[in-house]
Amino acid sequence: MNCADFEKLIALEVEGDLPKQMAGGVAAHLRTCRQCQEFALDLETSQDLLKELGKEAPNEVTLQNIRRGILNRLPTEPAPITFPAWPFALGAAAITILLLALALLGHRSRTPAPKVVAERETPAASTQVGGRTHIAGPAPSKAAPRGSATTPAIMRAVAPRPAFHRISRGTKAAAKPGQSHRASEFSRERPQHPEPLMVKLLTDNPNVVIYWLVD
Amino acid sequence: MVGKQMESGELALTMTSSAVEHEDSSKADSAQALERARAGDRAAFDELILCYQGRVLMTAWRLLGSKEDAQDAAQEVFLRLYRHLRRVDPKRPLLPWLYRLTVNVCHDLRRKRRGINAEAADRVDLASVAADPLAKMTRTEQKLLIARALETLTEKERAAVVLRDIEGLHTAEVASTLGSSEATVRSQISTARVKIKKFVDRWERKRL
Repeated sequence: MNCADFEKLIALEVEGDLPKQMAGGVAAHLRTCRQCQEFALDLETSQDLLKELGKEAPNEVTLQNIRRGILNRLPTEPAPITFPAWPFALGAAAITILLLALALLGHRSRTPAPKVVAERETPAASTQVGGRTHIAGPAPSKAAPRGSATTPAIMRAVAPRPAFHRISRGTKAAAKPGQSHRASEFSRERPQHPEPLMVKLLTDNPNVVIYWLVD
Repeated sequence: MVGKQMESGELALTMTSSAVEHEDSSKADSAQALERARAGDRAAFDELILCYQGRVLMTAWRLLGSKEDAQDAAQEVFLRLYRHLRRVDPKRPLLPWLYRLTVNVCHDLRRKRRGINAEAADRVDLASVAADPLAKMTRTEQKLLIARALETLTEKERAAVVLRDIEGLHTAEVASTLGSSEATVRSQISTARVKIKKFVDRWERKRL
């Protein structure tokens, strides 16, 4: 280290700001270097002057002017209760995130509303084979006499998933003539999901409703 | 009560030990005044002004180098204190908070005015000294010279040296007030002291 390096350390040492482990080295250098001794003495003089600035008391008239100015500019009402804004902002952000997360979870867990993928009036004659009415699905209910008013007039397919919706639409054109449109559709295209598919068959008799559950 | 606080406030200006640790009789009074001021008592706030305005003014003066600017700064410091009274912890000393406010207000004011307007009176006094090289500098003139030397420092060096050497705070307290580390403050203080010393040397060489 040369004297220029020591100057900065001496500047701290004159006021005792230098850590003890470094103070020893500076003191040793000061004992041997006359130039740095002079520097330290001059520094002490300028430090004394600097400290004297702190002893100055302000003018009484100046202080009165300042005080009057402050009091005149003070708002008439008491200091408003102010709260730091950041906790509120943080809380609002947390609540927003929580609501979004809940909405997302709710959307995922909710079973989609059943969609009507096809609604078509099926002529009774189209499913008649050998003078008997064939209904795609289990046997008609006993409540209605066989071959009378149990002909399905409207078929409703309830699809729980949009994927199935797409499949069933695509197979509409592929339904064979002479076969119940819904029956062919459901027998050929089965959904891949485990939820049961419910087919509701309406007959002319309002008291007779046929449900067909497909795994 | 007010007179007593005024007296102790002035006394505080003559202290050379740490200002923050300084335990004078007005400290308890000012804590009580702060409590009452927080509750909306304007008279109590007036007591706080009387107690601390001298120190705030002188610090602002050393930081800004101009008496007029320092007066504006001191007023702004107390207005900000009033606005944020509820944020001040009454259990902690008010002075460090005021120092921080003063440094911030002076920084804002300096930025707004772009530079220090050194007092014309100071310059005149120094000019008269320089005109007569044989005249010995009086103590007052020497202090003016130091005040001029302060103007040559950067804003951060100036704040550090004003708080440490003029206001008498410890390095740790200066670091806390300025939001810096102690090592940074030590470096700033060291540089500032060397600069001031060299400024004084140059001035004296010029005179001779």
